[in-house]
Amino acid sequence: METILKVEGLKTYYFTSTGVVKAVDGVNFTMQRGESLGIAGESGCGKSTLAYSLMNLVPPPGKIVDGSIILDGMDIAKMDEDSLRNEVRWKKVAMVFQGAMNALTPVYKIGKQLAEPLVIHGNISEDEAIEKAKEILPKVGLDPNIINRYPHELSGGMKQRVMIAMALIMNPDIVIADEPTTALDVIVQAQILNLLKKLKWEMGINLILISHDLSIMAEVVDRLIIMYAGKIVEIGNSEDVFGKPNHPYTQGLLNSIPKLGTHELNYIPGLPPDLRNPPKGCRFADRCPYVMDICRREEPPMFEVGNGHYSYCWLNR
Amino acid sequence: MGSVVDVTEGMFFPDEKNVMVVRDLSKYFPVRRGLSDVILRRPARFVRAVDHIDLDIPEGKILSLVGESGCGKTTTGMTLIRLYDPTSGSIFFEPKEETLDKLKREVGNLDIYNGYIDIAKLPAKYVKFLRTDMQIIFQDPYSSLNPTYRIYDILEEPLKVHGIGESEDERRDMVLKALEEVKLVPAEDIAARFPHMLSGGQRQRVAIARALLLNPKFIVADEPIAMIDVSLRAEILLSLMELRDKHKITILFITHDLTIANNISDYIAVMYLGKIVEIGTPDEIVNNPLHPYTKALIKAIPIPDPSMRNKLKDIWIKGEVPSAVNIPSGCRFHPRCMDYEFHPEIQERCRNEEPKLIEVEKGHYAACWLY
Repeated sequence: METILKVEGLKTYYFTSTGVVKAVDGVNFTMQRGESLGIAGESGCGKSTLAYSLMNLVPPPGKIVDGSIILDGMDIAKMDEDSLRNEVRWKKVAMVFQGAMNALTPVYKIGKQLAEPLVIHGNISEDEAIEKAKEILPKVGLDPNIINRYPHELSGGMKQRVMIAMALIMNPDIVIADEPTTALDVIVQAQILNLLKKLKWEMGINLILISHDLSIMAEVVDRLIIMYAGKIVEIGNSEDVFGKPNHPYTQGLLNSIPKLGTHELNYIPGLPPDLRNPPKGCRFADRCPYVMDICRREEPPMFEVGNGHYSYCWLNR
Repeated sequence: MGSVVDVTEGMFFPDEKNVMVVRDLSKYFPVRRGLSDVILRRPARFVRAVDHIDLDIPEGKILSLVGESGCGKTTTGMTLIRLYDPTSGSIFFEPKEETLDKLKREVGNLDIYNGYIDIAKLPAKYVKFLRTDMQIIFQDPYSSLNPTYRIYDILEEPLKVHGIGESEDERRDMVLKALEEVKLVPAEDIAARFPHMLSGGQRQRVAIARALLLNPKFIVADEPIAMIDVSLRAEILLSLMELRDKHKITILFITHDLTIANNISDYIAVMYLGKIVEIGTPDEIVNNPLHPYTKALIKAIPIPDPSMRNKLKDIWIKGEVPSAVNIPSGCRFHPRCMDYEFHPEIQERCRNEEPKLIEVEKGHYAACWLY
């Protein structure tokens, strides 16, 4: 297997007026070519910040303060803005942003918006770029003639398809989809997930899917990272994480998913910690049903709990 | 009284007593007309958000109204408690005794049918008297609480408005008790905070406490967990179930998520483009869906099991939701219906006649020409 992305010791902090928010605080993982990777966690766990970090596109007052993101021999974390624009964004790593409804500008036609990354990054004329845009639209299940339409003429699902087409247009190595279906209805969501799968099989895109919804993850990703309060708590192949969850947070999260056919309702008591001042030991300790003394004292290291399956929990000591 | 129908007799749940009986209810919103529309004398157009629906809401139960965005489920909820004025139809509601007495005193000629009144016909200035009987919990707890008020003031306000509680002390006790009721403890501490100092889940529980304070019979909960984290959703759902079990409050639970509806409700009604297309118990709806739209919804639910990820999901529906301004003829679902393709014998009917909700199996209703 070929490693296409290697993230080591990544720290991304937000320097706010009320303190430093450690949104991503020491994250390590690798991604292999051909696999879809999921990053799951609840709001505020740092998953979107991690996604933005992978393009070195963290909005101020956020900043990557430490660590490396190695892609194709380049360290994205340390590149300057010009080389990021010229070499990385859209060409190597592209992103389908959250909230397709608002990500398109209402005043330009779809064709012009789709062509824009090509004109800026690809050094070709707008007419040529629009021709290329027409070629990519059928791949995402859209009629090429919609290049002459405005965003308000499209449904939410169609707009999301346009956003996916835009991410694909420079033929990137990695496509990051940040909550690509949150604002969509369940049927449209199923259609978009089908599309992502097809793109993976037919075009060989390497997908990173960010979502709070583990059911969606199960439908798409091969390998899954669970984040909690700025840290990875568990990482493994989907079968293992869903079948043999090791970390108590993963177990609680899986239990919290309402299922058809059962009438059980479970939740994880308590709240995540304040990331301006995270607790010393394990960040999940306050909500953990199995908490021990050491959990509050020392941060848990990574334990290998299965083949390629890792968990950051002292229970595995 | 000249009433010919016994309105307390429901249509759908023979074993239940209904707190609300809705008949032929519609809510249309006018579409803004441009200058050219006026010059060319084009007729006024309407968004038919709720289009002649019948529904019974059984007392002390949770009824879920399920549908996709734009299907009219929120408009239905808002109209049922008169936050919108209905365009036509009736909403028979049985108020609390003291509310009924108050209404009798205030309203000149109030028609009372067996203890029920038609709140759809109640003049707007008397609607405030219903607020002690019916309340709403909104979707977004970040915008439904006034950021400049402390939690205590947010909760005390409805008591003041409705003249409940003799003294400040009595109201204080009621507020603290309501906070404890939704497990926001220590209540004293929470009451002194501002909304921004609480998490989304805590705010939503403040909203529940606020709805609870006037001791209503009926609460509309409009997607109350849509903005809450997955690990905390069940906490809110369990609070709602406790309102039903402990206080016998009737809840209309509005959601787009059939899985959640299946988990908490006693009955489910599925809505599509302004119409109710299927009514039944959660088990019936999920295990034996009758309407092709319900089938499509269930097939689309993501399953937390990675073993199926190498297959495409079967999507049992065509196209996209049409606009509620131009509703298709006949059965409004027929242009998207997969069963339509396979049943040429009923196609003409589907295109031309609107199906009615009929009892297909015992206690299970569907509006579809297949049956």
